[in-house]
Order: sequence, then structure tokens, then C-alpha cells
Amino acid sequence: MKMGTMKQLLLLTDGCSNTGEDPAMMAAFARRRGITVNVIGIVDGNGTDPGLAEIEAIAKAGGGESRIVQAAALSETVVNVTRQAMTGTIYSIINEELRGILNKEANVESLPPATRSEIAEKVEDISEEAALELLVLTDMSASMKLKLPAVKEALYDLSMSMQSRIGPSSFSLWTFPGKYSAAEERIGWTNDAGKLAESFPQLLSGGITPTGPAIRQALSSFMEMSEYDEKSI
Amino acid sequence: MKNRYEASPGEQIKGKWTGHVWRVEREIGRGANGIVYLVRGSAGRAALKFADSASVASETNALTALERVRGASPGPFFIEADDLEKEGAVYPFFLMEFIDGPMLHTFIKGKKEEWAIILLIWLLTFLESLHRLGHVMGDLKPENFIVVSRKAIRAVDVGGMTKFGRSIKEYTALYDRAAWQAGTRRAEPAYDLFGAAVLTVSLLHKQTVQRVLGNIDDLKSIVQSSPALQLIEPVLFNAFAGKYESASAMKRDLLLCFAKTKTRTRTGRQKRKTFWAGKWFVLAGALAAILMLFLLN
Ligand SMILES: Nc1ncnc2c1ncn2[C@@H]1O[C@H](COP(=O)(O)OP(=O)(O)OP(=O)(O)O)[C@@H](O)[C@H]1O
Ligand SMILES: [Mg+2]
Repeated sequence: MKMGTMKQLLLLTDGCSNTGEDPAMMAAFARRRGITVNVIGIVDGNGTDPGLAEIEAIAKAGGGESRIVQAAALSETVVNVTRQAMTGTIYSIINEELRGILNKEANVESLPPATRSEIAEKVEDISEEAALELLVLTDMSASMKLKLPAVKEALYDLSMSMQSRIGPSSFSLWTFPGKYSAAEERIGWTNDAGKLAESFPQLLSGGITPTGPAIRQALSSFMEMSEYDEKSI
Repeated sequence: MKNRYEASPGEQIKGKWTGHVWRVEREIGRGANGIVYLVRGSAGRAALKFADSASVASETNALTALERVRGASPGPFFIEADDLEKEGAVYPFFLMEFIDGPMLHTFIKGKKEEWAIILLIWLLTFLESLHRLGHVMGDLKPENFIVVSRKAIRAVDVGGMTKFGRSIKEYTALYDRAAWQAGTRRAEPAYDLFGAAVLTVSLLHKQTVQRVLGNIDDLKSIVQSSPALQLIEPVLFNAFAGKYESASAMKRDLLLCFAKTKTRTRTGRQKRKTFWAGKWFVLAGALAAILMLFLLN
């Protein structure tokens, strides 16, 4: 199997978008473009947040993973979600191929366990060695105030794992809302994962939460990246 | 986790692929990835772990890799993987040898603090054989190890086992080199040796270690203020600094260090006359240390 670049968008938010287009719709759009959208919802202790349904809907539409966590568990979750998002992307490609060969319902889980183990080994190799583009999109609206230190720490943790990857990796950091637009690029594509945490801004940007428009804008960054790739070939 | 299967004691679990039936005796433990049950099949007792399909597949691979170690495997023997089909849903699981015994932190409860050093020696023996296969353990929390017989420890959760050179698959922050800002998360022997050193300290001072997580200087102070750990302070500090390239090197140092402190206390301020005399003291001390290990048993 040949593997192209794994394109992952990781959205960190506390939910409750309140302006602009539906974020789940934007996630679906991303998915059609080969970009997986993963969401981590950061909640306060008091259980039932209204934003939870939205978080799941975004990840579902974006073909990615979603988790709801408290700020304290963020580091671990960011690393795991990113890892699972990568293997998930590879599995979905395999499943698609299986459907082509076998039948419409076939997937890896319908194969015997021994075959699954062989596939798992290959998937691990690929997810370690394939090229990765990871864009982190962070909600910096007012409600995130107390969570920012945890976000910074989680980004540091993520960079520690990403720096140990074998395959070529690029990272980019966006935050929303932006000063003049829905979202703002904080760090352009770089191979240095360390920059994610180092340059993480500690200042909030404002009250509105334009999650949908922010996703749309961040996506443009992937597009530019692939245009750039094409030109350089 | 999504669709975890909860079994109850007495329940029969029938594998879809093999047709084998396993009777659940009790739950052994659960974690972030799965639930483990003690079960009985036609061939006797076994541990059965329900987890998602990808974890089952990758843990199966890890367990089979471990079996390449000669003699006793450092982990549970892999028996088979299968699926349980229930009301249209599929729950993957696998069976492995049930390893009976206390986990590291349970084992050390109520024992002399010096036992932490002996556990470290056993842990290094375990790591030696694992590293020889080109894998690191990754997740060095005490719940993942079981003291078997009175001479060795074996791993029960191999979810963090990672090939050299890759990024660690699973870890617990407390024992993670990167979380202490003391290096990367790349799989190499020194990663496990760092974790082993922290594990040793936290077996005795879990709460304090937890409180200073991320600050290696505070961690060092804990070592310096603990009478038992002082004995092996240089070795722990070397491991914190990533100075050991292999588990054997760390183990050798540990035995020597343990020995030296013993001879020093025994011979008082007596001076070493020649280099060789010094060497002999060390050797004699090493013997004393080994003897101690047996005595403590
Ligand atoms: N083969 C075994 N023999 C005896 N005990 C076992 C065995 N496998 C697992 N256990 C027990 O069950 C507990 C949970 O299992 P395990 O650690 O594999 O689950 P997990 O979901 O992978 O956990 P974690 O969150 O640590 O990754 C372990 O701490 C251990 O005590
Ligand atoms: Mg595990």
C-alpha cells in the first residue's frame, strides 16, 4: 500500500461555537479534501456541558477522533488522540480497499484475528514513517481563560512525541478568533514541533467563538501547503 | 472507551473464530484500554483482555515478540485472539497466561525500604532481556509489573512496548522522561532506565514524587533525603541524566554502588593502600551485597 501525506487538523475547544457556519459542515468539507478533523473538548468539572454534542458532531463529520476531557488530563489526551487519528486514517484507507476487493460491508474487523495482527504491524510502521501534516487549531475565546496553561503544556507534550517520529512531519498552529478574521496563523508550517509550545500565546483573543469559520480558514493552510508541494516538484 | 464489554462472573464467553469457550471467574483489573478477566477454559486458567480491535492486534504482536526470549518470557504467554459476538456487536479479545502475584507497589508495602533497590535490580534484569529484542517497555508504572516467585518480575501490560527508534506508544507521565523535561520520547534503553529510576523512588515516596512532577531537581532532593535511596544515589542520578546506554551497565553500577556503601560502613575510615586493594574491597563488597540479597529473601 502506498501512503500519501497524513493531513490532520486537531481542534482544541470548550465547545459552544456562536457565530458563522456550522463547524460540522466545515469538518465534512475538510474530510472530502483528505483532511481528518479531530476534536478535543476541554470541560470544567461540572459534567454536562452544552458544547459536548457539537464536539462529537465535528469529529464525526471530519472522520476523526473526539474526546471530552478536563484540563488536567489534556496532555495525555492530545498525544493519544493524535496517535489514534493517524492509525485511524490508515485503517480507513485499508477499509476502503477491502470494500473494493471484498464487499460493501467488509472492514478490518471482519477479518480473522491473525490477519488483523499482521495489518496492525503494517499500520504501525506506516503511521511512524509516513509524512504528517498536523495543524493545531486552538480556541482562545474568553471561556478558555483558565485552560490556556494546560493547553500550552499539552502542546509541549505533543511536540515531545512528535519529535520522536521517524517520518517527515510538519506542524502549524492557528488560534481563533483572530484579530481581523475568524482565525489567525500563529506558527506557519515548520518541521520543529517544539515551536508549538514555545510560541503559544498566553493572551485571550476575545468573546466570540467562530469555530466553523475558523476551521474553514485553517484549511486554506493545507491547500497552500499542497500547492507549494506541487510547485516544488 | 467505546463499546467496552462488561462480563460478569460465571458468564461463558464463546470465541467466534475458534469456538472455544471461556468461563469468567472474576475481573482482575481494568485500565484505559481494556478490562482483564480471570477465565477458565478446557486448557486451564488464563487472563482474557477485552480491548478495541487495534489494541488487541498490537498487544498480540507485542506478546509474540516477547516470546522470542529464551526460557521464561518476560511477559505473559500469548494464547489466542478472538471475537465475541453479542447482539450484533463485535467485541475483540485475547487470551494470555495468567500471571499470579503482587504488583510492584503491593509487594513493597510493609517491607523494608531497601526492597526498592532489589526490585530495581530485578526490573533491570527484565529490561535487559526486553532490550535485547530491540524493544523498550515504555509504560513503567508499578501496576504493569508482577513479582513472580521471589527472584523475578514479569510485565502484564505490554501496551507501551515500542521498537527502538520510534516514539513511545504509551506512557504514564510520572515515569516519562519527557514529562520531567529530561529528554525525548524516543524509544531507546535510556528511556526505560530513566523510568526505572523514577519508579524506584516513587515506590517509596509516591505522593512526594507526584507533587514535584516535572522538576528533576526536586526529584533528586527526594533521593538525597531518603536513607535507603542514598545508598544508590549516584546510580539513580546517572539514570536521570541518561548516562546509561544499557540495563546491564546500570545493574553493574548498582551492585558496585550498593557494595561500596556496605564496605565503607564496615571498614570505617580505613585507607585503601593500593589501587588493587581498593578493587578487592569493591569485589568483597559486591559479594556482600549479593549475600544481602539472599539474606533479605
Ligand atoms: N496476564 C495477566 N495476568 C495477571 N494480571 C493481569 C494480566 N493482564 C493484566 N492484568 C492485570 O489487569 C490490570 C489491567 O490490565 P492492563 O494494564 O493490561 O489494562 P490496560 O487497559 O492496558 O491498562 P492501562 O491503562 O494501564 O494501559 C493490570 O494492572 C494487571 O494487574
Ligand atoms: Mg495498557
